Amino acid sequence: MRVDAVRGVSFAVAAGECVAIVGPSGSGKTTLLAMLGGLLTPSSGSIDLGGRDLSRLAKPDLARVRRESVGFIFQAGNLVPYLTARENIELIGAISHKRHVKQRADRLIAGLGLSHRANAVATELSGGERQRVAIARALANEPDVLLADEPTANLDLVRGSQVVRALIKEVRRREIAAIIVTHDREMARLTDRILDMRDGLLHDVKDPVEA
Amino acid sequence: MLGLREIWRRRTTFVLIGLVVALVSYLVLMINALGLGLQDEFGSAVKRFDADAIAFDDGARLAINRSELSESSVEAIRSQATEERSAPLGFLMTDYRSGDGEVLATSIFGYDPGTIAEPQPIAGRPLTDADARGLLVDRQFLADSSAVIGDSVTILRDLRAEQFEIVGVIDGGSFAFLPVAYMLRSSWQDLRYPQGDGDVVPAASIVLMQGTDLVDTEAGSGFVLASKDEAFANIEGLADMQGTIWALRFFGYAISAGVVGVFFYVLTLQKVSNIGLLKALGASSGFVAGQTLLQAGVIVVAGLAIATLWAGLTASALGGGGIPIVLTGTVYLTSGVSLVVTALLAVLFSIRSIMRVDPIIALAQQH
Repeated sequence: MRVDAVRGVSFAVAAGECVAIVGPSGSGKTTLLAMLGGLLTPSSGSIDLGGRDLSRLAKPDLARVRRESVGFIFQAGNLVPYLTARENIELIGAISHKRHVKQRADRLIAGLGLSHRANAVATELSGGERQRVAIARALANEPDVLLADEPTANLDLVRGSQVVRALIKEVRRREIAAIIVTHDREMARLTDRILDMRDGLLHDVKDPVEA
Repeated sequence: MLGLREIWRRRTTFVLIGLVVALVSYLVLMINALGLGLQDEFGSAVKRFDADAIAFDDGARLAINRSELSESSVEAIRSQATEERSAPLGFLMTDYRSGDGEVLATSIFGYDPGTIAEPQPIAGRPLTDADARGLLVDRQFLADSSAVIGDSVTILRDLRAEQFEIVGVIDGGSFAFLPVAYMLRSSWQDLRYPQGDGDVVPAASIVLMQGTDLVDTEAGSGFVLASKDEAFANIEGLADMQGTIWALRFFGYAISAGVVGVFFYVLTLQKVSNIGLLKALGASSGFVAGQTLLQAGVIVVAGLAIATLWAGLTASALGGGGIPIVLTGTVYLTSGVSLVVTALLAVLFSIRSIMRVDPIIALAQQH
């Protein structure tokens, strides 16, 4: 049986803009994010990222787009457990063969208040620290677009708010297009625009102030 | 390097895997060393002949124990080379009684002093034409019989008991698992073919020959020429034993490849979520596979190094105890290269699974 997880979704995000996609579980938010990041290929339609249509790219090309142009922030950080905070950030450099990531890692660690935990192994970090490392990792390769999937799901309100504010600050400063998937409407209000998804459809576009 | 960092941070896991690889490699090395030792023990005396070719009676099917050459055949054979570069050699497998009364077996070769068949003593002195009751014996012969140079042993043959004195020790090896003893060819002839007046008896079992083009020359009537390797390979029963040794070695490699492969496959399965994460971050399958191969290479080489050390120590311990073991540089090299290749081939199965990991699981397997 064919199930269309995402249908008729059309929107654009500008550089430096931060968009939240909200909606209940099973509404298609994560599927949409996976397609935007080249992890899934849509059965129809197109995804334009800096002039490249991701829906037409082969797997190796999608992998290249992810390492060169996309920054991912996963739920609970999803760090490599046996690497330190610094090594998790520098990992992007090893994957993309970018040497300058090492130098940038120091600035990102300091900017996100992680200097004292830089050499702690991922499993020793708290939830908030893991998410900040994930943000630093996502920004380390200077992406064109940053995609975050429930970045505050395992954090309390205060820590969640801190993480999102840190994320939005970096996005605006670096002129990156950011899309944050969340079910937390409080957190969504911190972004520039909210897209509401239900049953795979984008129902309405709300200004965060009205939401 | 991601793979090396993982080894360091998860060192308990990797040390255990390395230990399994070391144990398996040790097993393979020992199977090879003991197998080759067994094979060597079967006919090391032949390998130590100072000859390039060996002439056999043409009905002997290249078996030394079956070959019998008449005086005229020996002369015909020796005419293929020069007198100095050929030598008749007699063979006899028989029992002897040591000084303490124990009956043991030995392989006896009968030679003429001053010919290429003469073994060089490492202790004592060589035989002269006057030593009709003299023996040069292999070190193992001495060890088995608890004899020393100057002791007498009694050769038992056809209800006869002939006393011989050990005058020297040689590194002669063994034949059919029996340590060799050398005596004068005339003594060998008397012992093997006790003759009456006018009887014609064989002059030798084989003729050793030196020269590079001998084997290709057309053999004369009544004899055939074979290379030393060919002669070794045709020792009665060796082929069957070699078949068993090869089977042991094959199963050793196959099982080690299986064990290493399974360990790395299980390790890969445990890392599927991490592999998915790396791929989601843009790592190519080649990058992840490269890290896995690097890890496998380090673990296999480290395991092999430990196994080499263990095998070396074991060989030293066993070497003096009469257990045949051949652990040369060639054995280390061939076993090592074969183990690395088979292990890495087995790891390719893990790499196949890495290729199939879908990066979407980085989103699906969040916790």
